[in-house]
Amino acid sequence: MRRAAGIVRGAPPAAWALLAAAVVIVAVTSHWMLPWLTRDSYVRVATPVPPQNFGVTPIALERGKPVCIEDVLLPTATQVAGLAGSVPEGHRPPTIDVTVTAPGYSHRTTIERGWPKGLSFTLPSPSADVLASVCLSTKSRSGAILNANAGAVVRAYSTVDGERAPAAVAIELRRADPQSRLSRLGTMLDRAADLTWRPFGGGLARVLMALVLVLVPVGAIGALLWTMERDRRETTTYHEEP
Amino acid sequence: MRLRQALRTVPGPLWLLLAMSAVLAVAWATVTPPLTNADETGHFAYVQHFAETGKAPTDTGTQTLSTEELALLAQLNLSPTINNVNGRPSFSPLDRDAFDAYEKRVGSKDRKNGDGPNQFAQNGPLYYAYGAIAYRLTPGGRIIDRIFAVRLAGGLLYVAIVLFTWLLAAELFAQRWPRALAAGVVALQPKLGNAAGMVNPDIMLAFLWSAFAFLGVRTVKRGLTLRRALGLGLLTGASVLTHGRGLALIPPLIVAIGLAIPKLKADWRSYVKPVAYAGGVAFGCLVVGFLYTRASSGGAYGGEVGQATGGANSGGSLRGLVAYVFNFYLGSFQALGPVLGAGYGYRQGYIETFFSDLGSLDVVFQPHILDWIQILAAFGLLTLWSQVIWFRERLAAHWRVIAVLAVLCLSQIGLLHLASYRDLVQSNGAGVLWSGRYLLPLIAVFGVTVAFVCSHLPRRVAALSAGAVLGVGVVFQLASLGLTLDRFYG
Repeated sequence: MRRAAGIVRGAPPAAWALLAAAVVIVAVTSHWMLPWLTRDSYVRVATPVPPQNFGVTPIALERGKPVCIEDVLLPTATQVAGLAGSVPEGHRPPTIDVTVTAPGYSHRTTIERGWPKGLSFTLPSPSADVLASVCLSTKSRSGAILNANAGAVVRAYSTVDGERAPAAVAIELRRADPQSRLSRLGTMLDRAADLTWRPFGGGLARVLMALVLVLVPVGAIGALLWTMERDRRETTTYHEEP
Repeated sequence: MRLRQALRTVPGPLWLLLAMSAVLAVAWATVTPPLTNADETGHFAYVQHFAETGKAPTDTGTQTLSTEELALLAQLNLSPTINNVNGRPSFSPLDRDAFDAYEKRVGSKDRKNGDGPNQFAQNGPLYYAYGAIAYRLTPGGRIIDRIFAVRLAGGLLYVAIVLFTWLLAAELFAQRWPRALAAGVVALQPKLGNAAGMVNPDIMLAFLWSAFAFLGVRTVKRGLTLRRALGLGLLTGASVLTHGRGLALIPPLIVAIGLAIPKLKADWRSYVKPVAYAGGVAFGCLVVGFLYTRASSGGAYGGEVGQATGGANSGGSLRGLVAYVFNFYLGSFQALGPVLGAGYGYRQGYIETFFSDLGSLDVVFQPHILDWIQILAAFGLLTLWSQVIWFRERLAAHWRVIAVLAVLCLSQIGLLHLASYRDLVQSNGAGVLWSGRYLLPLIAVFGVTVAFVCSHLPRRVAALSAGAVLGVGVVFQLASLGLTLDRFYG
């Protein structure tokens, strides 16, 4: 026991530094990073019209006046379309009929009264990425309010009863099942690689990520330990000289 | 041959840090989609116009962004991604193919027509000229490749910042490990990495100031020579030609040169030439900068002088300035009356926007993590204060070096406060012209300060704290990259 304590006391500074760095990295990784990486969240495949960052621009969905979102990019991975909205106070969210059409693609569905799954609907994935028209209508007298984005410069636009609206109804397309960030890391890297230098493909992005994961801890802490060890050796040599 | 010999003298740990920085620079250039970082559309528009026409955009032109840049923003859904955490770029081959087809037919007219109004037309041309070289050297001519190349050019400056931090620490510490710690702290600062991975002159300013910190300290330690004086003058001039905030390097130049001249002896004439060179170069750049930027509506040097000194009709008072600075650091104080910019202070300026607010300023750490950073920063400052008192005699022997570094910090922070106060007065308290990014020119000083604090602790505690600091840096850097990747591509 006493010997072990002696070894600990006599350990070189580099060992103490390594210990401290390892404790911090393990503690932070296990407490914050791993839960964040492994927690499931839904997977966005496209945001043709993202919701407004601040505030809400309302577009009324009234009986007999369908609201359409035109030129909505529908990627092949689409399984769910998400909208956002509300109803006038004291009213129950009404049934909303949805029609999605595109060249070679058509789908009709209904968002149930009360919107038990939120203002969203499932749809079959198209066989290829298409530009679609998403139309919403209701038979309810009270109608609904759809959240739109007035400031975004986007390709998609909205019409109300055939007339172009000043803002585009916010719509987001996603996969049906949530996934952890860790499981879709490859997808994220592929997406990032697509928007950088052309020869920089998904493979190189993975190599880069591996380099980051290895070189950041090894580079920073390795450099510290290396210099500490050299300092210690020089000090020892100096003291040993007659 | 000389270069090879010089490279052989570079210590292994420094190579390791530089390699890590290079990889981080590429990673930061990759994790954000083109043009989606803070103000990147305007800065790239400047680079592109400069590269295509040899001229800077103006603040009165006919089209802010070139047709090619506008097409990229629209076709790949980049526009709604900027400043909107809910937005994502288009990942669809449909859009990419359409944009590729556009790129094949885009003419030089569509690249040259971003003549302004550009809000950065008031900036000096140096960074944009540097970016234009990367732009022109990019093979293929695709705009996405060019943006990536300009970002990588910023990454080179980031690697150089790490190098100069090491060199500065080598001037200050006899031991090697504080050099590795200082350079490591700087390399792992996520805001600096993010700044390196975007098109923005802040990274060049940080590079020039880091190089100045090293050369200034070396000069006051080893004496004024013609080459050192010329170097200091050039760095100051380059800083002025990069951004209006670069003007704040003039007081440190005067102090560094002044302190490098020992007591005037009989050979005082030998100092005339270096001083004249340094002053001449800096003054020359000041004049060029003035002539280049005076036409902009913001005023010369990006309006920095006008904002700092008041101008004719800006209002404000010394009392107001004192109240604003007091409020910034210590919170509102009733006796000082109503204060402009209440709600934006030390926490926002030094913690939140210096360690967080990445990407298009919307990649942020959770408040409780920022709380921890603030606690660590407070602990570090308290330790520094105690050490300054404890080692005051030893430090007093190096007062010249400390004075150069202190003036460097005070000059930058002072200018930021002055400009921010004037902006608050002019906008009637609406806008705060302060971001943690503006503190990046002091990053090398930050690195050596952390190294000073750790290296002056008792031996074992010093090793433990150095390891812990770099451990925090590692997880912080990796988390920042992960959060940013998820924000834009998740």
